[in-house]
Parts: sequence; C-alpha cells; structure tokens
Amino acid sequence: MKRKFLLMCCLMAVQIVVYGQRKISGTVSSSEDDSGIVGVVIKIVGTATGTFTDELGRYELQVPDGADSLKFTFVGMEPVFKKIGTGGTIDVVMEPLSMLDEVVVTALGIKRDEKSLGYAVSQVSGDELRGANQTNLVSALAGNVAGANVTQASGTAGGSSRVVLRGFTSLTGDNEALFVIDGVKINNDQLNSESKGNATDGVANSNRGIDLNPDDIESITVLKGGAASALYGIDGANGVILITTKKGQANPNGGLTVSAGTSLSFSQVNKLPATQSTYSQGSAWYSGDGLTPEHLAPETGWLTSWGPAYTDLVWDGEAYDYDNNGAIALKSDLPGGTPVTPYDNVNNFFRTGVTTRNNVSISGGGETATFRFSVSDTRESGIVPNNTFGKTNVSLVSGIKLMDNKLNITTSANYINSGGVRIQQGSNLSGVMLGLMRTPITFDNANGSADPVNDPTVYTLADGSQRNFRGGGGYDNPWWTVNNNPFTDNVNRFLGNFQTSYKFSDYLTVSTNLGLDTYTDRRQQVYAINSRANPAGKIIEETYNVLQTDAYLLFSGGTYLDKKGDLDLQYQVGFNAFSYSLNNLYTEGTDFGFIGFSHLSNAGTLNSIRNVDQYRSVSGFASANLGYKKFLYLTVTGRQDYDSRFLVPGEEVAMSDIGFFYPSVSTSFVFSELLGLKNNSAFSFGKIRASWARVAKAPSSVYATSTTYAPVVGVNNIADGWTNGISTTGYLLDNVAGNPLLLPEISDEFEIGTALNFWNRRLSIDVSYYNRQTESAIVPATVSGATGYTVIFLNTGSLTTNGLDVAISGTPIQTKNVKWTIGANFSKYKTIVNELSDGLDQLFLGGFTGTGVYHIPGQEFGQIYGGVFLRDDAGNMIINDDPTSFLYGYPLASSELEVIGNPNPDFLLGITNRLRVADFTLSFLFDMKVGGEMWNGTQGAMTFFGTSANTENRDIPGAETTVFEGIAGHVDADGNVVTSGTNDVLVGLNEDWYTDNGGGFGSVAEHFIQDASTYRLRNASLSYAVPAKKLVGNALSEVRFTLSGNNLLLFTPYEGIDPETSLLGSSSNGQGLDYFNMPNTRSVTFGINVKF
Amino acid sequence: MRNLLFIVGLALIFTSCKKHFEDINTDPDQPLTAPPNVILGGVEGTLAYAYGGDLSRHSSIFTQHLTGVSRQWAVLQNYGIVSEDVNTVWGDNLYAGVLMELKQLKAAAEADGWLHYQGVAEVLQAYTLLVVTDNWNAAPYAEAFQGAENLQPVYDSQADIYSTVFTLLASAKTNLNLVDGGPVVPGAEDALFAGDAASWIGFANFIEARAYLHRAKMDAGNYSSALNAIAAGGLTADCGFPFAGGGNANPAFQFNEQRGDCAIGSKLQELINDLNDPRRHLYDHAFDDAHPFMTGDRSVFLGTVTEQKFIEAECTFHEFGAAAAHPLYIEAINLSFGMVGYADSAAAYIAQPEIDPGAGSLTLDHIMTQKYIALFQDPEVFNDWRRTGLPALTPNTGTAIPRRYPYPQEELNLNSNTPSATIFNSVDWD
Repeated sequence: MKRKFLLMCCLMAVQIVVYGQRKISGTVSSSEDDSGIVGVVIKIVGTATGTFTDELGRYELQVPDGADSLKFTFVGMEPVFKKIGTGGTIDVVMEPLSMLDEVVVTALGIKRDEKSLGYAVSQVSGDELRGANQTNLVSALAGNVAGANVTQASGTAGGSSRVVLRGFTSLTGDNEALFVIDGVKINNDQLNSESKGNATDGVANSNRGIDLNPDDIESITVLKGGAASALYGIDGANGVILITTKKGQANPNGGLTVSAGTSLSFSQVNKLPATQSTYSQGSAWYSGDGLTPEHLAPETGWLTSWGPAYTDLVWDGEAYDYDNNGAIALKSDLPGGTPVTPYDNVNNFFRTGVTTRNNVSISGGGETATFRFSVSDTRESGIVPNNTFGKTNVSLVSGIKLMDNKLNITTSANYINSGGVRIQQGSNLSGVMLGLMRTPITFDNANGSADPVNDPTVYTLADGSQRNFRGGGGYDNPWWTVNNNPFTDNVNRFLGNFQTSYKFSDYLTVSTNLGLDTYTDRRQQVYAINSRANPAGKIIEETYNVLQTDAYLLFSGGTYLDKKGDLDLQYQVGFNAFSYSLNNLYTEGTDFGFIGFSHLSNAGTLNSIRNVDQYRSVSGFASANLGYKKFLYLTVTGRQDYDSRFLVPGEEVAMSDIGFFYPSVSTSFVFSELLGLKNNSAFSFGKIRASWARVAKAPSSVYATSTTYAPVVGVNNIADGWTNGISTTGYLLDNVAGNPLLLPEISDEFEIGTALNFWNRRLSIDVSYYNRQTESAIVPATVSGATGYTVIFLNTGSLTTNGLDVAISGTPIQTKNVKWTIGANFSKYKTIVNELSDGLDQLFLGGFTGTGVYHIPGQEFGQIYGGVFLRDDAGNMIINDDPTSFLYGYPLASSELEVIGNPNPDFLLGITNRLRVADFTLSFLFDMKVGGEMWNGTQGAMTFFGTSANTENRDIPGAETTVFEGIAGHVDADGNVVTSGTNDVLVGLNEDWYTDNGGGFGSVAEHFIQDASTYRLRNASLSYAVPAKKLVGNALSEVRFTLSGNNLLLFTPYEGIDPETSLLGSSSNGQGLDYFNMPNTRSVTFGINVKF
Repeated sequence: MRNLLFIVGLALIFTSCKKHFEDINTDPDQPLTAPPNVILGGVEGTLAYAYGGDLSRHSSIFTQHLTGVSRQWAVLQNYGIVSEDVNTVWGDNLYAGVLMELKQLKAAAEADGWLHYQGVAEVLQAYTLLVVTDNWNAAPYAEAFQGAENLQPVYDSQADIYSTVFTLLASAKTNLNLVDGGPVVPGAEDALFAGDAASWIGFANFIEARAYLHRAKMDAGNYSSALNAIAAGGLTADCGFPFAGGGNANPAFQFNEQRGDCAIGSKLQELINDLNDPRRHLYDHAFDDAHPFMTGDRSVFLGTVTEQKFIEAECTFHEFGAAAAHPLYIEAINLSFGMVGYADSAAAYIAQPEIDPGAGSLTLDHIMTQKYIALFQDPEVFNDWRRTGLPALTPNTGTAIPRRYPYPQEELNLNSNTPSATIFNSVDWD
C-alpha cells in the first residue's frame, strides 16, 4: 500500500498488461560471470508487453498467441532476440556491448558510436567515481582520465579541487573544464571571500562541483579536445566534463528498487614539514657578547627559535601565564630547576578526521513512467580541529514516455545544502599553519591541556589577551584561531532541468532542455578582538546569489542518403541561450566595542559592498555527421555565439561586434573494417582519427571593456602591500583599465589519434596527439604605472600546447572466478607562453611580490619567479668579499628576479587495477605526477624562524664551518660585479645567515624550490559482494562491503607537506606555491551498500 | 515544416538579441565618471599613505631614523633594497593612485571651470612629482597617463620635471587666487585644508621653497629663491593628513602593529641620547613594541611650519650668515618641540651648548642635525642628507649609503625607456 502510494505521489503510472495464454519463464545471466542479471527488460517483439528479471535474473511472462519472438535488453549488454518456440523455458546469456559498437555520450548529450568519433573522449563510470571515496567529485577524477590534471588545493574538509584538460587554453582566464549535467551547464566557481583573485590568505573555499553527489551519477564523459567540445562554444573551450545522472529504472511487477549505502572514514595528516627539536625561542643578537644564544621568553614578543638548546634550560616551576611548568631559566642559573623537555606542538594539534556518508535511493516505474529519488548526506570533520564540511543532497528524477514513446519528458530536480566551518590558512597572521609551524619547541600552544580545543584558557589570558608564544603579538595561537576566527558557509542550491523531446520520425526529433542552477551562499567570517590578523576584531557577513540558466532548442535526425544504406547522415541544428548572474553583498564590521560578542552590531565601523557580475550569450549551432559503410566518418560543426561580455557601455549594441563563429571538422577511419579484421581474434579493431577545431573564449571578468570609478571603502582601499591600509570616503578611478576593443581569445586545435583493440578487447590502446594554438589571448597586462594604470586588458597573448594522451586497458586474466583488469592513463603536455604583450616580459598570476607565479614569454605556463643568488656569467655564486659587511663570506643576492621553478609536471600516469576473485574485488589506483616544482615557502619561513629541521644542525654563533662555493666579489657603486678570486672565507650557518638570505625572508627564494613529483597509492579498495545465491528468499538483492583507503602511500622528494596543494586555491592559474598551506590527508573508509 | 521552424527560431533570436543584451556589460555597482570633489579625499589619502608609509620607511632606513630588524626589512637594512620593493609605491600609489587621479580630477575641474579644484590638483601634482624625481631622478610625465594608447611613455629629465613643478605651482596659485566659478568648491572632503584657498597657496609656496632648496646643491642661487617663495606667504599651519586610528590608522602605526620588523635607527638614537633630547621618549622604540609616538591617529605631515622654518634658517645661513640664521634656528627648534607637545622642555634643551653654541658659532651642522631630529621619519630627511651630508652617517654595511631608489621592477620590465641606475647613483641635483 505504502509503495503504491509513493508511486502515485510521483505521478508515475505503472502498467503491466497481461493477456497471454501461455507462460514462458527462464533466467538471464551474464557471459562475464554467469551470474543472473537483475532488471533485464523482456519484451514480446511487436507489442508493448513485457516484464523484467528479478534479483536472480529470473522472469516469467504470459505470451499471447501468435507472438513470434522475445527481445532482451539491458544497459551495457548486447540486445538478444529469441524465437518463442514451443517450450516453456527460455534461458538467455547476455554479452557485454562490444567495443566495436560502444556508444558514448558526446556534446549536447548526443549518443554516438565511439568508432565514428574523430576525437578522443574518456569515460568514467559512476562506480569508479564512488570508488575514489571523495567528497569532492572533481578529486575523484584524478588518475582516471588521460589528459586530465586534477589538483586538490588542500586537505581541509570542504577544500577545492581543479581539473584542467589537456593543458592550458587561456593565459589568465579560467582554464578549468566546463561542467555539464544532463545537457545543461552548471556552476563550478570557487568564490573567495577575502583577497579575491589572489588569495594567499583566508580559508580554503569549496569549488561548487563539491555539491554534486557521486551516488547520483551514472557516468562521466570527458570531452577533452576542441573538436569534442566545439558545440559548447565560448564556455566549452577548456573541454567539458559531461555528467549523466542516474535515471529511474523500470522494475518488475511495479516494485521499487531501493539502494542504500553507508560509510565511515577516518583521516589523518599524511605529511608535515619536518621541524627541529633542539633549540629554544631566542636569539644571540641581544646577549652580552652578541654571540651566545639567549632564551627570550614569550612576553618579550621574540619571534625566532635561535635560542639555546633546550638541554641548557630549566623550568622554574613558579606560576606563569605562558607555561604551566613555569618560566624558563638557564640551567646554570637555576641548577635545581626542572629540565625542559621540548613540546610537540605540531603532532598535538592535528586530530583524526571523521567522515560519514549515507545515501539511499528509491527507483521504480514501468513502461510509461519512471522515477528515481535519492537522499544523501555527508558529514566531514577535518584534521584541523573545528574544521567541518557537510552536504545533503536530495534528488528527484522522473521520466515519462507518451504517445508511443515518441514524446519523452524528463525532469530532474536537485536540492543541495552544503557548507561547514573553515579555518584560516596561508599567508595570514591568523593562519593555522603559520602560527603552528613557527612555534618554538619551548612553548606549548596547548599549555598542557588534555582538551585544548575546548579549553579557552589555553589560548586566552585572564585579561582577554591572547596567549601565544609572542606575548600576544605575532601570530595567532592555532587553538585561538580555530576557536575565535571561524569562517562558516551555508550553501542552498537548486539544480534542475526539464527536458522534452518529440520524435516526429527518424528524420526529425525536436527537443528542448531548460536548465537552472541557482544557489545562495551565506558566509560569515569572524575575527575576535586580539586576533592577530585583525586585532581590533572584524566580522564579515556575506551573501552570494548565483543564478545560471541554460536553454536549448534542438532539431536532430538522421537518414540514409542512398538506397543501399551505405551513406548515412545525422544532423543537429540548435539554439542556446545562457545567462549567468552573481550578486554578492558583502558587509564588514571592524573595531568591536567589547570582547566576547563578535557581531555586526558590536562593530565600530561598518562597510558594505555590493558586486553584481552578469553576462548572457545566445548562440546558434549545427552539426552534421556523415558515415560511409560504417568505416569512414566525417563530422562538421559550427557555432555562432553572441556574448554580452564584448559589449561596450554607452555604445550602441552592434551584433557584429559581439558575435563570433567557431567551426570544427573531424573524421574517423575504421581501417579494420576495410581490412576485414572484424573477426580477427588477435587484432580485432583499429581506427585512426583526426580533427581540427576553433574555439574561443571571453574575458575572464565581466565589464572588461570599460574602466570605472570605485569607492575607496572596501574596493580601492589605500594600502602599500605591507599593511591593511585605510579607507576614506569618495571614489577613485580603478587602477585596472578596461579595453573597449577587446576580442575573444581564439584557440585552434588539431588532434590526431588512433584506437586499437587486440584479442577481443583483452587489450585496448588509445593514443591522441594534439596541438593547440591560442592567439589574441586576453592579458590583464601589468603595465608601467606611468600609463596611469597598473593593469590594462590587452588582446596580445599567444600560447601553444602540445600533448599526448595514452590510455591502455587490458584484461590479463579472465576466467569464471578471476578477472584482472588493468588500465593506464598517461598524459603529457606542455603549454608554452609565446607572447604576452609588447614589452611585457612577465605577467603576475598570483603569490607574493617577491616570489610569485608569472607567465614568462618563451617559458612554460605559470613559472615560479623570485629572487636568486648573484652569479657571474659562468654561473658561479658571488660571495661577499667586503670584510666590513655584516654578511662577509656569504653569497650575495642578485637584485633581479628570475624564473626559479616550473610547477608543471613532465607527465602524469594513473594506473588502475581491478582484480576480482570470486566475490572479492580488489582495486587500486596508483598515480604519479612526475616532475614539476614547488616553492616551499613554508620551509623558507621556518628556516628564518629556526624551527625547520634544516636548522637542526646550525652552527653555534662564533663557530664557522662552511665555505660557500663561489667567487669572492661584490657589487660596486655602479652596479658592476667586481670579483677577487675563489672564495675561501669560513662562515657559520647560523642565525645571521638564516635570518638573511639563507632563509625565506631574504631576497632569495631559489633555494626553496623543490621537486614536487609524487608517486602515490591514491586509492585502494577491497570489496566483498555477498553472492546472490545467499540472498535468495531475502529482501536484499545486493550486499557489498568495502574497505578502502586514500593516499595510503606517498613518495615524494618534496620536503614540506603533500605537494598536491595550492596556496592560491583551485581556481587560480598560479599553481606551485606552498606558504603555510594546510596539509593533506590519508584516510581509511569502511562502507556497506545494500539493494532491495 | 522544418525550414519554417528554423526561420522562425532565427528571427526570434536575432530580434530579441539587442534587447537581451542592453546594459548587461555595464557594471551596475560602479560609475563610469566621478566629479572632482568625490576624488579628492582618496587622492590625498593615497599620497599621505605613501609618504608616511613606504617612502618614509625606505628613506628612514637610509637616513638611520629606522633600523630594519627583521625579515625583509633586515635585508633592506643592509641596502638589499631591490626593484621589486618599490613597485607598489611607484605604480599603485604615486602614478596610478595619485598622479593619474589628479589628471582626471583636474580635467573634470577644468571642463567645468572649477578653478579651485584645478588649483588644488596642480599643487598636489607638483608635490608628488617632486617626490618622484627626488627619489628616482628622471621619470615619465609628459607622455604618461595615456593608458593603452602609450604603454611605454618616455622619461622626462629631472630638469624637465622641476620646470613642470614650477609651472604647475604658478598655475595653481593663479587659479586659487581667482574667484571660483564652480558650484562646488573644495570643502570638507579636502582633508588637508578643508578647501581654504589661502592655505593651499601657502602650501604651494612651501613646495616651491622645498624645490628650490633641493636644487641648491647645483646652484647656490636657489637659496634666495627659496627664501623668496616663503616670503611670498608659506605655510601658516602644518599640512597633515589626519588618520583616525582603528581601521583608518596611520601607515607607520599600521606597520609597527601588523608587521613590526623595524626599530629606531642608530644615528637618530645616538643623537637623541647624546644630546639628552627629551623627544627620545617619543622616538625611541624597541622592535615590535607599540610605538609611543607613531600612534594610529597621528597625522602624516606633507609639510610643516617646522620644516619651513628650518628651510629659512638654512637658506639664511647661506645667504646672510650664522648670526642672521640663529634666531630662525632657535625658532625652528621651538616649533618642533611645540609640534610634539613638548614646548615646555624646549628652553632647557636649547640651553645646552651643543644645541645653541651662540649666534656667531652656529654651523650648518647644527641646523641640519636639528632638522634631522625634528623631521622624524620624514622622507625629506633623505633629501637633506644627500644635499648636505649632514648629519654624517656611517653606512650600515659596505662603504656607501644609497642615494636614490631603484627603478621599480615593473618599470624595468614593461617600459623600455627606463634608464638604468643603481641605488648608489646620484639624482641630477645631488
């Protein structure tokens, strides 16, 4: 009764017509493992009558007189036709769809034979996604797609991930792939609340792709190249991730299929920067002789750990605000004191993160109508105390087929609530890692508390000031910042689409697809009074409203062009209208009146800013696919876009100025067909393909065609790069100048490839080579300040990408009980920046003034650029030969900055393995990123502070152990290098050196560039499916237990945290910076999935 | 049927397009134009923030008013200033933040006949150009501020910039002396003088005196020109940009508060200790302590009557001798004590023979040393030291003290006209 009621609610009519005279029964099983297949549709050919197999693959059907044959169909299997003889039993063995006729979803959701495609696509199944056990769907793509580079910004709960397909298309615009769900574009923005655009500080915000529920996804097709994505026009230039969601599945006897899953994960830090464990807070500089390290206590505010070894120190045992063990004294001064033992602040800080995921879905329906309803919930607590992320997804998909299946209506409605509590990170006086990694071993951030996160006395002194190692100055005590500076976000999102199609005939189907993606993101950031980033206190209340609509009208069909049926044509002609708007209301209150009430109403100063970004495009497109004798295919597409981002304010709208045309042509030649290899068991299939496409891109920011005045308050804040600056009333002309003559960026991409199958698909190889040339790339070019601006948008950039994608998959073992499949996805690409703009020899992408990521003409995309040691023409370091200098005998710094690192990996390789033995399946993904460098700014700073492990073997001041290799010399008053032979001056690796250019706060950064290659066991899982036979007579039809782990092994030469990290977040093109980034995690998950 | 649908679809899309697109790419939150009175406050704030911030900090390390103790500033202490260090102050602050805005402000004022705004803009242009050329020598002006039209403006010589400065000041005084035809005259939004034209004229004369003084090292005739400028009516009160504290705090205060990294400089400390200067209680501060003097609500002074009096004293010393300069010198010291609220302590201080050697024995060293102490962390001290070598400074490292700023890295990279220079080269008047 209840079930029927549910069905009625969903307006689904289930109709099983039974008017037969004879009963036929049987079992349908899979050729792969002989097991029964549940849900196979069995129809009497020529009628609408049919049924479905049950959980063991059994069926019964009443067959009327005169019925001729039965058709058995199932997703992923070859359809089977059986004559109805005179017997009462028809058993069927179904074969998986052969590779030869594999159908893939292509642009606009059009299903095509893979063999007819003139470009490479990759597919990822929903099971593979779920196997990755990632909250963020984007992270789950890592290693699974040749040509995709996935980077996780941090290991915090709710952190963002980025996917770039086949290298970079745009210099500074968005390079991330477009996300399309069931035909409509969805939003994957990462919106940063503080330091918009170049967030070296703030919290790790989510990319909105995190809202998607992997349990609702049937499969993903990755359209990597230009020809594959050309039909998406201006927004598809970076490739497209096409997501197909699960739809309702008809079920025998009107019953419902219910699946449920639950999992529990534990995560911990997988890698941390190494610290020294010998030397105390202090310095030699202020001691009597200026040489002997002296302990400087927290109340002095001293910042570094260049004091005496802890073995020389004792606690006096007296009551003391900064340490329960008492103040520190020299052992020689207080022989009776308690010997100091070092504190392990770092390991005491991180906790075990816990994630629970629960999902349930109900699916059912019949001939006319189907539905699927699912609810899923994820609760994640991160490794950083108080960091949480959670999301709840509710989804209802329904499908109706009417008028002899000619009219199809599908609606999909998804509600998502997500958000959590995020913690300050990065270059930020309130950043957790910044304060933590700088803490001396002689200061206990937790002050001995067993539960520091819930014990305010740990980080607050009696007068409300902060208890930290710098006497309330410096940086936040990590326990302070996790409690007193929380960022909370709460996203409510609706995602849906409404699709209709009517098939007039094979020649014409008219379909529409209306998509809506809208969310409200409410955020709050608090800085309590005495927080170091905002000592007077600060609160940000912020709301984002994002609304995207995407509408399609599509005419499609196909026909044979000749009588023999050798030549066939399929066409699509359509129109698309897309709109995007973001409405951001940001209110900031500073200078709280009193401690303990961090609220807008307690703020002395309030500032509020509204920011609306909007653009629209309308487009017409057409595509024609010609096939000849199923071995030669040609596809031609064209799209005309009109995009509002090229409009100039105050000027008449001229459609010709904002319209752009993009063509593509691709061809596929299945040579195996011609060579008659179809039935050859050793070499069964081979094709070559080639394509060319032009894609275009709009400026990465709206309103780039004009220059505006902006209020000083909140926008044009007056500052100098060192301090927070000020706001006065009034407006100032933006330092960033628009350009009314902007044109789109044009990328031409050529791709050639081949797909080969051997031994009946036991081995498949797919290789693509591509070349993409982007011209007139829009450059927000840093310009000479003397132009009156600091940045002007110019159409002057050029970049070239060459790349190779190889996907190999094989099945070395396939027996009844054992099946081992192995796959490898190899990606190699190089994007070279050819030109920025005339005279512009660098373009800042993000980071710091001294060390940042820049485009440099002639170099690979996004190089790390920073200070270097002074060298002569032969490359020898110049060692200071001026005996009066403070740094006599130490290397000199060059006054010029240079390229010091390349963050782009040489190649990526993901190796997947899946081994099934009876009811057990073991799978693992081994993932390599080889090459690519990262600036270990964390280590640089920790070296300055004397907390890094590389300062463990420091020279005691006065001791001199090192002669720097190089040429003695100096720079004279005219700026020329004057040398005086090989350097032989003995110097110490000590406080003087490490707090100057030997550390990270000097003008040299090159010595903190490190190889960021990673070799990791990205995930491994072992699952056990209870055999179907054991479930007979039970309500359950499937029970699966899974034990899996992520990041269980990591090998890397990088000396900091897991180098899969990005200071600037996933949406930035500036990758390769690590400055007190949050560490990454490894995790173990136990999950159960049931179906009944 | 099919054809008809296409045509209808196409027609629909194209006719609705224009409406669909109107104003979509116009930023709804920011105006495309702004009147002069709205721009002025931000320009003054930017100039004051740069003058009391980076310009003060960098020059004060060279003049030993400050010691860079920590991090990047410890490197600057050893003259490790690199081109990168001055990108912001040059580009964001002085060029795009002040001079470009002033050009817009002036153009808008000129178009509407708002003469006093035009005059105010010219005074501030002159002031800023002087700061630029004194620290960087040749600099773009004549061809600058054209946006994408000229990405690489040529550099004007220092002589050309000085003549531009004098021209601007003359024009400013003319405009400020006329009856303003504009509906809005500078008022409350003018943080420096609240729209008082006479004060702006006085400030113009002060700037003129400063400019002549800088070039006196090249041509001693400039001493009398400077005196004439002041005699025409200089500052009658200090010209300071008032910072409010809190979220609008003084830049030096913000630096001490947010970064620390600097402490009092060696020479200044030596002088105030040796001369038993009561102002040491204000100036002396240990690294990373709250500064007793640079408080959040302290103004940044772009020009003071104290400095003006020291200019008079110095020029008079050169023109008319020690005895004539002596009363001006004593008055300047008194003014400087008054400025920091120590007027009562001045007499005892001056009574010391090291301070007041008597009218006949007054030397330039006395004047410049007292000016050095009075203009605490003022970028002008760097000009004075380069002109006079007084007080004598010992380099923090090596054998020389920088005599100018490096050209910014962004200029070197993006404008091929940028001359090459090291920080040890002199500017043309030096």
